[in-house]
Amino acid sequence: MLSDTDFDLLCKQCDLENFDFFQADKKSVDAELLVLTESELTSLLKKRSVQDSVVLNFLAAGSFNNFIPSIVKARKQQSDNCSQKVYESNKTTVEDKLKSLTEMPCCAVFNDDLTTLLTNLLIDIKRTAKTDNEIVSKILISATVSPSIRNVLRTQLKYHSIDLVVLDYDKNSGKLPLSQLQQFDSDEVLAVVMGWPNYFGLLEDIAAISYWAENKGSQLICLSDPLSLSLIKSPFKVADKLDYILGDLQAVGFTASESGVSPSFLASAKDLSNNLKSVLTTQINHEDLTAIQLSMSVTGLSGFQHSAELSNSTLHKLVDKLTEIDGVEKKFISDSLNECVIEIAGLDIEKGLKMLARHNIIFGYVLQNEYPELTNCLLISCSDQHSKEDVEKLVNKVATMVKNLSTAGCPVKPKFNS
Amino acid sequence: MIKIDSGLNSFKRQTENWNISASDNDDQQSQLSLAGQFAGSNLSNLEGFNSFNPYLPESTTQGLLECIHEVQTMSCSMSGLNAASLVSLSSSQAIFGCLSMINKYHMIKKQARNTLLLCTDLPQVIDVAAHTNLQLKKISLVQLEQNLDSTVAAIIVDVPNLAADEFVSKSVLKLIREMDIIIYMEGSGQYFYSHHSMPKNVTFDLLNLDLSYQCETDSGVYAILSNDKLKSYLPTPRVQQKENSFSLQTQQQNPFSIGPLNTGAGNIKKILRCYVQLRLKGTHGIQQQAMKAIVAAKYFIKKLADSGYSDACFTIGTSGVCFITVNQPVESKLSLEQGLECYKLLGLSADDVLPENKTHFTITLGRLHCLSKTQLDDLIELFLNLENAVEHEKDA
Repeated sequence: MLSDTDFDLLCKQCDLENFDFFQADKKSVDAELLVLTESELTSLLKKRSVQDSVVLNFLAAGSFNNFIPSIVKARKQQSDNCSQKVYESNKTTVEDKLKSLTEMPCCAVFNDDLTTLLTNLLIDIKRTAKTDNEIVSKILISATVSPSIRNVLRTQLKYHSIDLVVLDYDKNSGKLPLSQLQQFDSDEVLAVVMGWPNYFGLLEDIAAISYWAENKGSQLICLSDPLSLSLIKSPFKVADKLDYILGDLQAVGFTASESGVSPSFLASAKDLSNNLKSVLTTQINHEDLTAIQLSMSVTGLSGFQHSAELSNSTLHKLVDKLTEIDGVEKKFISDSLNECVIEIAGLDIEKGLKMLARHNIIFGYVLQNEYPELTNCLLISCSDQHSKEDVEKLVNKVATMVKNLSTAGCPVKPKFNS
Repeated sequence: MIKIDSGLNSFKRQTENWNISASDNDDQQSQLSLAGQFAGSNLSNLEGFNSFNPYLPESTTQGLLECIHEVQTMSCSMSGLNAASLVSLSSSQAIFGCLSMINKYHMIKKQARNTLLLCTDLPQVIDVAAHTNLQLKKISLVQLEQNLDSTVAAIIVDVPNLAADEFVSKSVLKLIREMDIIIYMEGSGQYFYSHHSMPKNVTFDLLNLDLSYQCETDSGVYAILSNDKLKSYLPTPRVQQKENSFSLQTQQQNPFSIGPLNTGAGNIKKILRCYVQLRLKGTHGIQQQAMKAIVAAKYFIKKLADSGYSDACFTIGTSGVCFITVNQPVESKLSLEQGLECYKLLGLSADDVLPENKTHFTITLGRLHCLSKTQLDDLIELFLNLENAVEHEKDA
């Protein structure tokens, strides 16, 4: 490193001494924040991290907190000396495993997050459609696709003559009804986007939807994830015709905090078009690829399956026990995967969550903000890290909460504001 | 001092740990920051941060939100601009965010503006602009005044090497302000931190910055910085402070915002790594490092020029990276092949340096601030005596 003495010497030799660039006003760039030593910083961040540690969290809303083997966590060190050959081989391994999960013939991984990948795919579909680019085309998206994904698409597709139409879901089943699609009779629909499973953890009637899409000449795009695909049939096998499966690779070696920003994959029924390839040029970086490859190799597909089975059996046990409590019900009858919507009738849900916060428990995600009709409804989830005791603790506290809300308040003070 | 005539391999053995780079786009990793890299890697993996979810109650994410807020604050402090958003995950996402902000600003003001005056060669902006309704018009800075009309939404520049008063004349700047045209600086390098071209001094309204690059971590953290005029248009979610608590500002809370650019709140792990670097070095430390990078490159170029490297064209990139373009036929001591050999000798890939017509090539040397003065002098010696060294190697 260039020492301060050498720096001064070099400045002299380059006649830079009086250059105002070096007379920088230190105050103008000095942040109010002090420079810390490594030990001071470690202590500060550990304190902040402990402050953020919640004992029991049943809120996922698409970000899964499944176990990550320690070797995957050390991916940075693993990827540092990765040669191009190793990179290519890791990429092929990952893509082959995703092909076997999706059961689709073509698959590629990208550095882009899921929404960027989806945006680029939709733009490409619009570009290659045999319509005038100026004509507004419709892309149908189910209301059961994550609201945050729909919000990003609204920002990103604003300038592309694409009308993003949100299709309402059936209030009884929590799924996209075929009648919503049947309003669109002409060939104006370029693509239909749905989740597998959807945001509520339910499996859509993909056979009927794909039949409709095929007849109308629309492309069908399914959003899924490797954990779900390890447990259920690939939508490609269930649907008559499915064009693409897209998914976030967060569950494959990334923490919950990396959800929405982790790499993604695109599986397709046919070779990716040249147009699409030119849009999707962001190569996945070595570090992330190593994490995915390590996770897939260490855990293996059977490991994913085990993790998904464990999470779901814990979730089902939890839901069964919760619904034994008076007033607590499953909102939608169908079997749910990864996440489940429960309804606590006749209670102020915010008050209830506050009550559970007193015991350091986050019960679930309140759906009412994005789905106003789902009053008193929560989206809950379990990971493979939740124990039987965790489930029992939650069930007991919810039972007490339901009871106490109709009598006197809980004497324990909240540990955080819900 | 390394003796060049002791053979190229000997030289190579001694230079392999110098850690200089062949790319102007590489991270600025240096010996000094290795401790920060390890600390960043460990500290970004703390359990409480790993389970972050933007839907969690804010009271359970205060620790992390405070860190993100501090990175926002430090970015503002370094640039002199007033507000920052760290949600962009790539440079194209950040550019799209900036162009959308420009568009929305004029839309809200009911101003029919759809022309972007591009005063520099920025292919990445051209690519992204195709995804908006804004029309690009490429001009040079000298043509700026004659192109200012009521359709211009923004001027895009990439001039961090220039002092404030060199950007445009005061009268043109006044005109730009009167016409309510936004000045957007795309990308930035080490010069960014120097006092004389700080964005606020050059009166930029909007800037996107590869923060991971500046903080010597992996890419994935791109800041969009703005002045007060454009603050409310920044993408969501952005961390805001109210008294002693921090929260994520959503689009519902701020209808002027262009909205989210992805479903996350930024790449949390990488933001934390940046945070570690920023707190260990301080913004002033980063500024000093930037100065060292620039001075090392200036010194390297000056020495080569003083020694009769007459047919070479020298430039310094925005990151303190030095570019040496050598034209053929070469009258100096360095031939095309020898230049490439020299490049390889430094452990750098020469794949990208040969243009199709092979009439000239560019040597790009980054991270020169990682070298001591003695090592810099050795490197200069190598360039000046390569012919002898190659001959010596053949003899050996």
